[in-house]
Amino acid sequence: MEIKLSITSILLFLCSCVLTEPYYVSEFYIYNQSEVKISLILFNNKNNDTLTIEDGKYFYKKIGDEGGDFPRPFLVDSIKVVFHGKKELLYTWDNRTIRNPLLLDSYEETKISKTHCIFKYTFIKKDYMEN
Amino acid sequence: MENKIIYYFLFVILFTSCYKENLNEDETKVEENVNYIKEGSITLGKKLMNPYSLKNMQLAYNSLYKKKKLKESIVLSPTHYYIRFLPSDSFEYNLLKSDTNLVLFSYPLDYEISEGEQYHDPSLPNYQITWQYTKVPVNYCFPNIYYEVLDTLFMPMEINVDSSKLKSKKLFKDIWDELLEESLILTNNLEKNEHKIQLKGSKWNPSATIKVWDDLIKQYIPLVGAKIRVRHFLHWDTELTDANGYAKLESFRYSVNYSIVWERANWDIRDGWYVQAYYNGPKLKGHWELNIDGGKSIKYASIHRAAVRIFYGENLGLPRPISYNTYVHKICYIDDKGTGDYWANVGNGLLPDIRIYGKDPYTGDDKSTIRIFRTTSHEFGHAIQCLLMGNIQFWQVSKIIYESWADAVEWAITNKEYNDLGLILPFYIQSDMDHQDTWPYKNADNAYSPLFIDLIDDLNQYEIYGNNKPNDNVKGYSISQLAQIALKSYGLTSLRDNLKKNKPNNVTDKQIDDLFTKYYEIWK
Repeated sequence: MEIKLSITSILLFLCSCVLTEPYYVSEFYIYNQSEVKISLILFNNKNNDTLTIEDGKYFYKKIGDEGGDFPRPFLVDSIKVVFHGKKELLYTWDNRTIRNPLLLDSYEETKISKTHCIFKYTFIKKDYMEN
Repeated sequence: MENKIIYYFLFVILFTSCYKENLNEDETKVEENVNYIKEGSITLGKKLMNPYSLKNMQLAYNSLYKKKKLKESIVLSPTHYYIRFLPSDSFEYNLLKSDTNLVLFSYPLDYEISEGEQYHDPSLPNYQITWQYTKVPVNYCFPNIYYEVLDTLFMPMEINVDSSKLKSKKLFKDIWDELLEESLILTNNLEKNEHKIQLKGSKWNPSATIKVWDDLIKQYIPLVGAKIRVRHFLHWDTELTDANGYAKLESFRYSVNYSIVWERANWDIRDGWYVQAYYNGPKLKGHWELNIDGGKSIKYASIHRAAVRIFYGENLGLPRPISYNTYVHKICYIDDKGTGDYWANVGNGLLPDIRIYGKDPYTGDDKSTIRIFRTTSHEFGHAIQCLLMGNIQFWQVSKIIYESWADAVEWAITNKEYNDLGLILPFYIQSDMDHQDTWPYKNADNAYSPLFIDLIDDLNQYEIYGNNKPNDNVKGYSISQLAQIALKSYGLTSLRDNLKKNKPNNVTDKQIDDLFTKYYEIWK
């Protein structure tokens, strides 16, 4: 019994000496309350993808990544948002002065645990009307 | 008329002398097709008679003597043993691995064998390390590890030349090709096409070109410094790939089994916790062109890329994590969900040094090649600091120092790797590595900070990303310079003071103080 205890304590000690990289999970909810259908064109090098969100609906995705920070919503070069097939807004990483779906800072953040957060972003009528 | 006859004979001689060459070229063309990774386990086929066994070599010798191709009848003496070890634990396995004269295989060497990434003897429980096959000279001093002698061999060309064996080696040098060929015929190991081209002068050099897929560049890139093995039963050779992913090996006369062994003098990539990682390729008489596109092999290759750069490549002047006692870093690839970790030599060689997991912990999807490369570089950042600082000192360092340092190594080495491949990393990868637009985080671990990166680059995130970011007017330190400074620093204060003592000409103490203000505020 004593031997078992000492082996366990050695193993516990060894495990405490291991530096494990953390893993963060982000859940994203992107709501469309702009009163029109929106399309998000994700520009990424040579490959472009398009997400469509109907008015009143939302887009959801959950992603994780290792390292020091919560994963960002879109791993792309830029996003073009097309409102109702007409009005277009281009978001790039250096658009820091406006709300920007690329940037975590523009999301409403709810902490679930030390390594798990929910992020919410809402397209509103103002985005469509004013920009 | 006489001239015509002479021309005719000259033509016949010329044609027949070219025949073997043409045949080789045709074979090469057929076999030059690109191969891809065949995932999963190796399967063993038919057991083959071993042409190098003493018994079969003696039969071959006697046969040649009967055909009057040899003048005297002699009794051959064994030169090697074909053996297998059964290490009972990682200690015994590592002991075997530490003998650099031993070339270990995790599968038997006298069977037909398929391509694949792993083999475990089905008669052994899964948790046990599988048999390790090799050959040793007859005078080999066995370690205290269980082993079995599978065969006695006659391979006089592979004995280390000393005065007592020199005579025997010279004696067989002239007849070796013929003797081996006779043994291959008697043991039914000479393939049909080899019958046609096995005459003297048909020696060939195995060669390989290895490339690996990169998810970011979206193309295959040459794999540099990979160890290629070729094997004809119990005769083998190894060579490293060059900058083009190409390796040329010593000459052989027959088809060879190609493989990649994921090890170098300073590191060893393991499949799981203990066993050597490898890829067993095809049996060919021709060039092996492999594009690594998946399986565990693409993970091994991505780990290998980072290790080659850290240990042997252009690494921006970072200290190489090579210790005085030729310590071999055990990098365990775990084909499961997880991140990466560094064990700081706590296992004293018995346990892993670094573990890299291949699957995303949430989705279970395969991680990208750049993700594996980045995590490996990050863990080697810890290894550099720990090895050069010493274990006990390393554990006294503040977390913000050792994690920010490892992040800086990851950032610098990954940028260097891709810049050398002609790619500027996109912003979303850059910022994911440097954290300059997000640190300090609202909820995440602030130990992973851009502190060391701030000292190198000329970006002030305070001006670009807002006034809650560090005010970084410091630039011009090199990562190699920081390695020396970081290795003497245990916390923010000692780091700041060391930076002031070793600052570049254009940097003032006030600028360093201004930068550190935010770090002190966040890391109290």
